[in-house]
Amino acid sequence: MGDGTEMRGRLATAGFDPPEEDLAILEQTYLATRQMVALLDAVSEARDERPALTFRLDPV
Amino acid sequence: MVGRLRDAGAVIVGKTTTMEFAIGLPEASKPFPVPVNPWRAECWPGGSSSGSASGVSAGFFLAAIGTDSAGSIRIPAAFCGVTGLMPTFGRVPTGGCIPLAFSLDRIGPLARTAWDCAAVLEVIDSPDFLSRIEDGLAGLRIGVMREHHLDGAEPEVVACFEAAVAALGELGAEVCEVRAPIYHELVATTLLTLWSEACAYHRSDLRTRWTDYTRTARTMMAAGAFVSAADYVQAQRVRRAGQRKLAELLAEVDLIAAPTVSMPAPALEQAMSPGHTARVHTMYWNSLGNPVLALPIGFTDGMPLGMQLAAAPFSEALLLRAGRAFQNHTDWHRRAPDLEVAHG
Repeated sequence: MGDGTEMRGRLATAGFDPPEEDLAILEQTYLATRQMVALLDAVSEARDERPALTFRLDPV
Repeated sequence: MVGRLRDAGAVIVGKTTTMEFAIGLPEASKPFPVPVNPWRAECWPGGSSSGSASGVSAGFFLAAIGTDSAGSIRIPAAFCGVTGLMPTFGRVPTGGCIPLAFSLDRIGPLARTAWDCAAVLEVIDSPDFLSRIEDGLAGLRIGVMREHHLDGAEPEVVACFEAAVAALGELGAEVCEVRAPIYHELVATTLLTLWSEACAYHRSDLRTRWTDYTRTARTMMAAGAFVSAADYVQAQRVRRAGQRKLAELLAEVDLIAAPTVSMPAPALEQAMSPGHTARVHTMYWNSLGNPVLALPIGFTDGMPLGMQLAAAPFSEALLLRAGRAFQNHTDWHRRAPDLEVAHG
């Protein structure tokens, strides 16, 4: 599946239906996003890090 | 926030203009004012806290409140020639503020001076930012980040930054070169996190009111759909790795100095061009959570330039003390635009 098809699929899954003039911008952003994801996947020391996520139970 | 300011005697003069939901760029076709830079009307004041910085710069009010999730206090501070403080993540409560990215958003002051920022922070957080603000820089170790920050910058921009670094040394600080740990990775982490969190918040409205949003806002928010849950979790792991590496660096130095934006304010229509976004150096710090103070350091072609100082979490008092010392030594923060010249 080409980048354009995959990008449109992800937008459709999210429920977005952008006009053609926005799709050109989104295609560039999609490619940049995949590059950034690959950059982060290459940070080997992050694998055993505790993610900076917060889930806290408050007493009731 | 406003209640605390009023209780302390502040006179609230109004709400300033910002980018829609603090993201993207303003559009003239939308029902919100397009902000202008008080130094040159055709230039962008930066954002998203656009009116906060331009209003302080123009002398309309003493101080303003802004938010910063990727640079929204520090970029307008740099482009308008004022001082802005992004506090430690979590220090100033964000209740009542529509979120852009819940794990990145911070609220802080913009004002002409570091002293004024300290006075505002005392009110919106807890007291004790002014008592040691005159302690100076003697004995402090300051690391300077040049790598990634000055690539392709104009010689005048580099000269202003180097003069600011020299001033820190003249004030008694021990200045040395440092490298930003996993710089590009943390910039990526900020963007992926911001897009994901903004998309989650706005998704239902984007489905039904797509064109009500500005084009830049909606396309950036929709980019969250390109980030999987696993990608998001990996970004949060990288974030933690970055915090660990930066903590190691901050065991060697007390403060870190870097250009805020290595160019002057561009025209609005050029603000999102790739060549310009590569010269914005604020996003690195949003993923990390550390406090950062943005200061004016000079001018190029009549437009302001800025430097940012970063410190360990909850070290705002140290940052403000450094800013005060720098501003006692320089007068860039005292310069004010001639509004008649800038705006005809």
